[in-house]
Amino acid sequence: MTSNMITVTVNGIKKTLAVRNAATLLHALRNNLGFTSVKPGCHNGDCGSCTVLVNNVPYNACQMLAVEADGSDITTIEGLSDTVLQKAFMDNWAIQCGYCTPGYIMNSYALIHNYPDADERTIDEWLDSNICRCTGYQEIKQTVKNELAKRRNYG
Amino acid sequence: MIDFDFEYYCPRSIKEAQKIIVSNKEKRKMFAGGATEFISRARMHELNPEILIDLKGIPDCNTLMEQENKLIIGSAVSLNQIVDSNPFPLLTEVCRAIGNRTARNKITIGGNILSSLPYKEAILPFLLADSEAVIATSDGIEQRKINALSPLSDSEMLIQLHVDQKYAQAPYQYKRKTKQSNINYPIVTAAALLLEDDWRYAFSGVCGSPFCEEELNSAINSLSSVTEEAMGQLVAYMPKKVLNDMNASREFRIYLCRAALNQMLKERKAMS
Repeated sequence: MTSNMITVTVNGIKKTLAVRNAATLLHALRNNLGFTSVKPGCHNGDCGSCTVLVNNVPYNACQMLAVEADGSDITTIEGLSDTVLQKAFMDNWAIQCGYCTPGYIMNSYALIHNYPDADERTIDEWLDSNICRCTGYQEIKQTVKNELAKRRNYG
Repeated sequence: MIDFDFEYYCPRSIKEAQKIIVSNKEKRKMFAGGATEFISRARMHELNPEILIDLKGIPDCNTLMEQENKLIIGSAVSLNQIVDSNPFPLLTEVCRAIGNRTARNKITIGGNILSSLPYKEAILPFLLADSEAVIATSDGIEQRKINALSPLSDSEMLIQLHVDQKYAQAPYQYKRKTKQSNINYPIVTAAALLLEDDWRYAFSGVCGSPFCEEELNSAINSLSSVTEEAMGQLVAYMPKKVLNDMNASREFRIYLCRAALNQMLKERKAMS
């Protein structure tokens, strides 16, 4: 068998689909399920534009076969609609062309939730996983730092 | 997009994996844990297995524990699991420099060690600590010294790595020399571990594969600094020719090696 049926829960909704074993999660999310917010970039795990959460852990969707994700809970940027972090990215102009933004927000969301006390080194280490070709790095980092500070101050 | 088809198996036990190997003897097989190198290289037509066997469903490959003074690390444990739990500080530091944080959620220790790329830096701490690898073959399970690990055949699976705890907690030094930024393949990586009274050294990126050589260790330990002439003598103890390719010339790699060693010796003096 060179294809398989998989079941994944994407943004809280269960989906069952047939995938080629060779298909990446990136391809399945975009082409089978229509989640075009998951942006293809390098296809090599270098740029982070296709970052999604799989069981709350950030992964490059281009570096995971769809069959590997069978049974997983997946969150894309659509699953973070109306969240404080999305608004913060807009308010701080931590977006320019916007192409890298979904990947950055997914990674930042996981950072803020998993490491609410993240120090400078941890923030840098996490954000180094994504590339912004518009070079909006300072705005993005400042937004993440602001949200971490808010969370520490107000819970 | 990977444009060829293959069968995918995710066995739940070593026995199940062995059965898959036996029943597919004639087919081209590949094992994966994180499958990152597989995905990248298959996309470039550099690999074309007929069968991909995913080891991360096997509990033995996901172990990360201490047992009877041994640190046991499963081959499908991700680099971030190692970094976050920090059972072997030198290994933590080496893993932390590989790829990027998100990529390290998927890259596994077994995948890095058995990588086809010359860097596979994660093997350095294991070479220094004289570790053992647990290999499952179609016939059974065996333990091998880490320096006799690769290449594995397509019917041999790396299951675990075993490290003596006293080595895992030993003082260490680590230098990674990249061409441009922190996130890049290294040109030269040097690591050292203090075992009893002697430092042992391991290198990657210098020759075609990582190494730790007893004679080289003794020669380095006899030096207080590495002059250009002394470096020339050290190169003679290296197991293979120093690489000379488009990433870096032979001379530049030797220069970086010498710089790394001198940094280590200097820091050691400052520590004592």
